Amino acid sequence: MATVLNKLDLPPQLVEEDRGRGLFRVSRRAFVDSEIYRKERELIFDRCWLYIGHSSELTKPNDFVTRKVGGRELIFNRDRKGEYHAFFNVCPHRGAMLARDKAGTTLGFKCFYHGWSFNNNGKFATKMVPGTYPEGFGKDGCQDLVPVPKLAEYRGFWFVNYDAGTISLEEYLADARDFLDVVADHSPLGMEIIGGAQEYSLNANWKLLVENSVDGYHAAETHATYLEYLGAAIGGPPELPTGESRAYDLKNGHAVIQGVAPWGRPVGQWIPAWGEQGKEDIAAIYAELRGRVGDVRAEQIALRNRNMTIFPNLVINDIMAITVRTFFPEAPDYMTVVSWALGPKDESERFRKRRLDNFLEFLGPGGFATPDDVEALESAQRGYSNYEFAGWNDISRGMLKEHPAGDDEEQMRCFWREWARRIEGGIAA
Amino acid sequence: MAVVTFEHIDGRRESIEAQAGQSLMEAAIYSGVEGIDADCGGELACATCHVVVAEEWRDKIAPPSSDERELLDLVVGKGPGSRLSCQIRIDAALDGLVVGVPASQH
Repeated sequence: MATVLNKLDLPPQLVEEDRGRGLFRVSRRAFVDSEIYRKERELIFDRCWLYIGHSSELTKPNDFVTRKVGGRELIFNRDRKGEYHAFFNVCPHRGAMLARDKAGTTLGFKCFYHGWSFNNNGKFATKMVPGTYPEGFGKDGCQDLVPVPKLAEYRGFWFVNYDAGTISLEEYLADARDFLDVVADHSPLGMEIIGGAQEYSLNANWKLLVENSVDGYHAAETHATYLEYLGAAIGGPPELPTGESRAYDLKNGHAVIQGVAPWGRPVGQWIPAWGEQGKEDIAAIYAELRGRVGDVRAEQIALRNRNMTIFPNLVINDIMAITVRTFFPEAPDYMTVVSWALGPKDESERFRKRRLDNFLEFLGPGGFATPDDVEALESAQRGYSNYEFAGWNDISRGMLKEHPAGDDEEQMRCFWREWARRIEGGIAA
Repeated sequence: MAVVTFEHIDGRRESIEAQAGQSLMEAAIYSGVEGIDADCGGELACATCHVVVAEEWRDKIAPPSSDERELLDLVVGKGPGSRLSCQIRIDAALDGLVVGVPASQH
């Protein structure tokens, strides 16, 4: 007698929202399915503005960095006049990667394979013996570097888009612009990427890291060991942001949770572990802030923490250190992550050390937070092997509240609504 | 450090300060000397950093490599004294160097 496998009759719809009843659920298929992954590459990563780098990484003409963005190897550079460019890092000849260093300063690029050389503005610059190529060869630009269709900047944050017909970056960022302003305004001299990048990978779907990056609910449970350590540093049990922390829908899939937190902030929140000198330093920083941006904004910058997601895969966490983090799915169950530290240009050595210690000890791949988060995400990915029988993630928390808090799940719902609009509606916008 | 003078075809003489260790081409590019295009940026590929070294300086500069000679064969208006400035390394002994910028690069 044949047995019957009682799998769920999974509806094709991947995200279900019932606002009246306050229910929101996501199909676990979204985290494992190859066809959905392929659609994400085409409808999200090839259509959205993707973070490529910060102004401070290219401080002078002829500077360049290379990195993979949205699955493609790129050069991000400034030419001799100082203009910013983004080129596909591939030789127009036979396709070897042209720029092989992570960063540097150069007037031109030379391919190591056959020696084809290029001006750093992308133009082919190699003299050939006459007769080697047909008359007029290359006049149509076929020997020049191919520029990425769109490159644009907001407050020092540079983005690319592979869709030449896309909306402007400003329009795309919508209400996230205000929170990018908050991050960019920490210092009168501006912000800079500090030091190198943290790079790591994990066996989990990329969307899990979007959720985890703005998840206030998990901190007490997942990061219990860190909170014990923190208690010792601040001289008492740490109060975690609960009711005071709020989620904001920034439109277009972007979201932020903002609230108070017990740890120190080099930009304006003192803790006893920083001593009396630290207290004076912080007071001076806060005074400068108030003079420059006003009391309300100064309090927001100095005393509030922000975890922000910019759709699809940029996270900016302005907590003790500021993390700028991107991640990319190489497969439905594997992502690579790159994280940078951002800080004020004129920061004192004392605070810079604290900031970078925090970047390493909490947020770093071996720190107090990340390994536990990785475990949680990889554990979920393993759980999703059951998707045909136990098929739904519930992210309804706080849905009927007027002001969902940082430990509710509205910030995830913002992401998933935009995700569903692009993937399920087949809309590319 | 060395002071280098570029002679343009209209008779104009342009003197710049070049740093020891730079190439003559780099010194020209960073000082904005007109006519030194250096499209390939010093990779010995484009021959657009062509200069004509004044006669009295020719034997004071290390002779060209075979790679440079090969590329020089492709420049317009090659003559005695023709060099690719990306291959000339500046040091104090070249203080006072005079080179001409060829007509083909104006």
